[in-house]
This record gives sequence, C-alpha cells and structure tokens, in this order.
Amino acid sequence: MARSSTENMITLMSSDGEEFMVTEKVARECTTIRNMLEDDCVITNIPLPNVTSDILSMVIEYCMEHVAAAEKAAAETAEKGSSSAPAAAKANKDLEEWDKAFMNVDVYTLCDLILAANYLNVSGLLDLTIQTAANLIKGKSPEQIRKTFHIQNDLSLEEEEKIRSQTPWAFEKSE
Amino acid sequence: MRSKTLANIASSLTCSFHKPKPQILEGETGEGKKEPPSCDRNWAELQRDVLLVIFLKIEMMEVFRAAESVCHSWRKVIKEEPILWRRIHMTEHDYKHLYRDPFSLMHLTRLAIDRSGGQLEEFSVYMVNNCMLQYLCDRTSVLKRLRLLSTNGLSAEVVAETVKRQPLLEEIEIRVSDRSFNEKFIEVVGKECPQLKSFKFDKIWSYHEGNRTKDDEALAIAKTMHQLRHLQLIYNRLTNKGLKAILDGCPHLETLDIVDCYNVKMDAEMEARCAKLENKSYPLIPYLPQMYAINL
Repeated sequence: MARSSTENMITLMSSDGEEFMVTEKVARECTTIRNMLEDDCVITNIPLPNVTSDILSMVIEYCMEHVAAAEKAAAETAEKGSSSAPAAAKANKDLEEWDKAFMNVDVYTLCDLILAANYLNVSGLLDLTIQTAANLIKGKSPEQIRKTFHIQNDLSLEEEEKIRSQTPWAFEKSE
Repeated sequence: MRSKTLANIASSLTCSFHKPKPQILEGETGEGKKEPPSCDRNWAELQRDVLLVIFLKIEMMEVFRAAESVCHSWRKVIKEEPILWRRIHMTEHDYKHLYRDPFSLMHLTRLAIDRSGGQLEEFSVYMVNNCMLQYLCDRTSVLKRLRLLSTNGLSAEVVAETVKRQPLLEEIEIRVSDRSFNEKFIEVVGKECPQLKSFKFDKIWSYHEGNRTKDDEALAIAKTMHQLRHLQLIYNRLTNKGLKAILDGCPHLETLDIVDCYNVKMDAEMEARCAKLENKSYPLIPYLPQMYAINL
C-alpha cells in the first residue's frame, strides 16, 4: 500500500484508444482506480474499456476540479491555522456553481456520465449526475418525461387507460 | 501484494450494474439537435440499479404521479422494488392536491403499503382511517417513523394499537383532533415504544381552550418516554410543574419546542433548568385570549 508522491503520472486509456495523462491524485478520485493502485502500485497504464474518450475527458475534468478545490481549501487551512468559515462557504458555493455548469449536458451525455461515474466509482460525480436526472423527472407529466429523456411510449392504449383511471390526478397539470 | 495482469484488472473493473457497450457513438454530446438514442444509452433501457437510485431521489407521490406511467421498463422497476416504497411520505402539497379525491388517496396509500413488501420504515400521511392503520399493521412491523398529520376519522385506541404493533418506532408525530388523544394515550405510546427518540404532539384543536392548565399529558411523557431526544408540544396546557417533570423524566432531551404553550412561565429557575438543552423555543409572551380573536 505504498503512498507514492502526488507527482506520479498515470495514463488512462479510453475504449476508443485515446490516452489521458493524469496525476495519481486525480486518478485516485476514482475509487475503482484507487483500489487497483493499492493492489499494485507499479501500474502506470490503465485501460478503461467501458468509457469513451469524450466521457473520460469529462470525468477527468470533474476530478481535477474537485482535487484542485480540496487542495486550495487544505492550503488555506494550513496557512491560517484554521479555515475561515465565510471563505470555506464561498469555496463550496463556487464548486457547487461549477458542478451546476458542468451538468449542463444533454440527456445522452448525462446517461453516459452516470454509467462512467458508477463504473469508475466516483461517488461525488455519481451523486451529482443521479440528482440531475432526478431533477429532470420532478414536476413533469409522463409525456413531458418521455420527451425529456427521448423515451418511446410503449404502453398500450388499454394500459394507459387503466393507469389513468387509477390515478386520474396524475394526468392533471402540476402546479 | 497481489500481482494482477492488466487484463485481469480490466475485467475486474466491470461493476455491478454496468452493461459493456458494444459500440461507441460519437458526436452526440454537443448542443443542438439530438440524434435518436442508440440502444446502449436509452433512458428506457437503463439498468435497473441506475434507475432505482434515480427514483430513490424522487418523492413517492412524484413516482406515482408520473414516473410510473412513462414506459414498461420504468413501470416494472417501480412496481417490483420494495426499497422504493420504504418511506411513504405525503407532503402537504400532495394532500392539497388529493384531498378532493379520498378514494384515490386511500387506493394509493394501500398500493404503496403493498409494494413496500413489509419493509415500510416511514408512514407520514395526512388522511388515513382506522382500517388503513389496521392494513398497515397487518403488513409491516418495522416502522420507525409514524406521522399522522390529521387524525380526523382516527380513534385513539386504533392509533395506540398501531403503536403497540411497531416496536421499532423512534419518531412519532401526531396532530390530534379530539380529546380521546389524552394522557392515557400518551402513556400507552411511551410504554410501547421503548426506543422513542422524537415525539411531536400537536393539539391545534385546543387552542381556544385558553389558559386552563393541565399537566397530565406532560406527566405521562415524563413517566414513560425516558429515551426522548426531541419533544415538541403544540398548544399544550402544561405549566412549569409539567415542564420540570419532563426535564427530570427525559434526561437525554436535546431539543424542546413549547413555543405555543402559554401556561409555561420562563422564569429564572426554568431558564436555568433548560440551559443544557441544545435547542429550545419557549413562549415569549404570556397568553392573551384576544391573540386568537382574529382566527376565531
């Protein structure tokens, strides 16, 4: 379980063969990769056959931003002895804003990000993407949800009629 | 240290709910017109576990209202996963939306109880009747949180019986509607729920009873609810005597809200007694009957 220096570089290879060089610290944000590094600390090249390059670059972008934010917070704490609450709150808010902007993606990318975050086990990103998906469902009618997520309506007329009779208010407009 | 080949590691990476993608489609991440979904990034066919985690973030009524009626695969996940139905949590908004249609409301509540498969942990509802509580108790006995936000149509005996059959209850909130929910009722609740941590007892109906004093309910709490951490009494007529008994009987109390209990006089002695509480809200002004004149 050797803790190597943070300057160690790891190469992550996407399913379509693109290589991404990241610091070990960033790679460790992915629990799946962290576990591998702890099992075998000499690996420097990790193939990720389930993640495409465009999605992998987004995951890395997320991890880098969060590592940088954590490092900044830690540096400030070390400098002042204890972190000042307003500064920490502002940093948190900035990171939240960044997350929000990062989630400005179409539903297919969101789907891929959820799968990648789960596969690489990046808990922060998984929470963020799942919450984003849940927010897209909230307050919508079934038809609006289908439209948002590009889902085909495969319920038969009889089935829809049955659901409608059981939950008539479900088809009313939500306030 | 175990040594692994890269191939081994790569194959071990396959996580619990990932379906390997057969092909890669590019160029769909940009803005503008969306291409039709490929089979592996179709929201309807998303793996059950992923859908489940998403649905867990959505309120129960929201799932009923819409998600369930989207498509077959979503419907199947929602109907078959008891974990989605562990918390029956009806909000005031749901209630306002549904009170005109009590039949649907009862139907949904029963359906939700059925789907929880005996794992129901929270039952927070606005409108239930005695039969529904009976139905609940016949199907689950692991309830931790019971919130009855309107007891119209409920009898104190049936609620007490429900509490008896849920030995794991930690949190009870009751907005009572008549006098049958009295000190005897509180005593049964206290005795039957040894793990009770939070108790909210709202007697909003009794606000017009003014400043007549009555400490029996406070004494019942003090006598039986020794593990209590959080207590909220609304429009209770307890006095300093009752409050002292509660502070003695419930040594672990952390939060106390008696903001609407105007018979309590927060004098220096009471202030000192309550000093150790983490959170407290007292009546700030003495009771004045005309305060409620506007509402009457």
